[in-house]
Amino acid sequence: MPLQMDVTVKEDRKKEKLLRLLTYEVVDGRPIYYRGYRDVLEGKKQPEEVMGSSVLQWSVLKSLVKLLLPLEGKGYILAFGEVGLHLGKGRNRSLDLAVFVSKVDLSEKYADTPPVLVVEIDVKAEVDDKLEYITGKSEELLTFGTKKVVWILTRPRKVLMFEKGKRPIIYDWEDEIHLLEDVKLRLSDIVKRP
Amino acid sequence: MPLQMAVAVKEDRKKEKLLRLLTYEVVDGRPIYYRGYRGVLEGKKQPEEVMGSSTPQARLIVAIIKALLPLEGKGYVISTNEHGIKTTRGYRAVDIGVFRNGEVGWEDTYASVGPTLAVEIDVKAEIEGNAFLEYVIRKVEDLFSAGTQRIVWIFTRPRKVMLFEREKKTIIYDWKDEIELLEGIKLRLSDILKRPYG
Repeated sequence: MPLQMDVTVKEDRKKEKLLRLLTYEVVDGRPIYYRGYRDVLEGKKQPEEVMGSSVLQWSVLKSLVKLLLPLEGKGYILAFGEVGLHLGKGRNRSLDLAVFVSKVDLSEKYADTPPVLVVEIDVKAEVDDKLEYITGKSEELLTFGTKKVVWILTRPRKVLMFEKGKRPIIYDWEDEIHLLEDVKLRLSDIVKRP
Repeated sequence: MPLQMAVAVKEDRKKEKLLRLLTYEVVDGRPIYYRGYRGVLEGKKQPEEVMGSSTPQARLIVAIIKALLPLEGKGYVISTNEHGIKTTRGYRAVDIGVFRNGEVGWEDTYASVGPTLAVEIDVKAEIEGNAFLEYVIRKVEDLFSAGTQRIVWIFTRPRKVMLFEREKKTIIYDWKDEIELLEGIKLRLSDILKRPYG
């Protein structure tokens, strides 16, 4: 192989590897990349610079985990940290936090049963239309069998609540939001805590 | 002035002029530009290519105005064409506004109160980064503070409608849902899109 071609092939392989690393979800067989993935491809940023959570994002997630953990004694299973969900062939979603009812087998595969509750914090995917992404992913989860999808936005500080059979509602951070069983959430309280 | 400097000054003035043309709204003294304005500054696009409405956007506006027109006999005035509203924070543009009689006259100025009902179609402003909803929420709050009671915001790509009402939680409707605009006038977007003409 001539040297130049060899370099191109190598470049292509490197790009392909990077793209695989930067894939956040797969919908209808097509990858959805992490927000800011183009900067990584252009060599302006490291993959870790676009894939991580902000302090506010992980603080909210940590508080949610604390709130929901007691449910584990009531037959629920709590999962968090980019939970892979396999909804069908070529349909893999990533969830920030999910609560399952059914028994989830410890396996190396993605979970393939619908969680009862899903909580998402901001949009980590690179998409043209964020509202389309948020409503599309939430509706897909509700159709799959999830009862409630709570979408927390840090800028602006709002919460979008999607529930089966109901119209989605936008709440404020000061509002009390019912999550599951007796667990309620008021984001403004969480953020006030040191 | 040396030639090179003269050219630079000319370029700056041209850019300034373009930016003024591409200003969609002004909030807190700062301009909000039309979506895609950078393409114009870079010479890749003409201003008209980013400032216009798409066909469905334009047709929806006509269909909604038609539905609202009976209100003109009931004490309301309807406005459109990016009607400028003076708010406490600056100037906002609304796609369709429904004002009470007397709130807007024929003076060559922007409206000094928010319309009772505002209808928006998509976001024409260029928004930085992750804050798509932030622009929407800030504009809604700004219009509320100017006296607006109700804002119906149509998003054509995900085919959703947000209904903002003072002191109420915002609800997201589907295209096929019936939405009340004002005074019992209702709208179902999926029906409008079925019609060959507005």
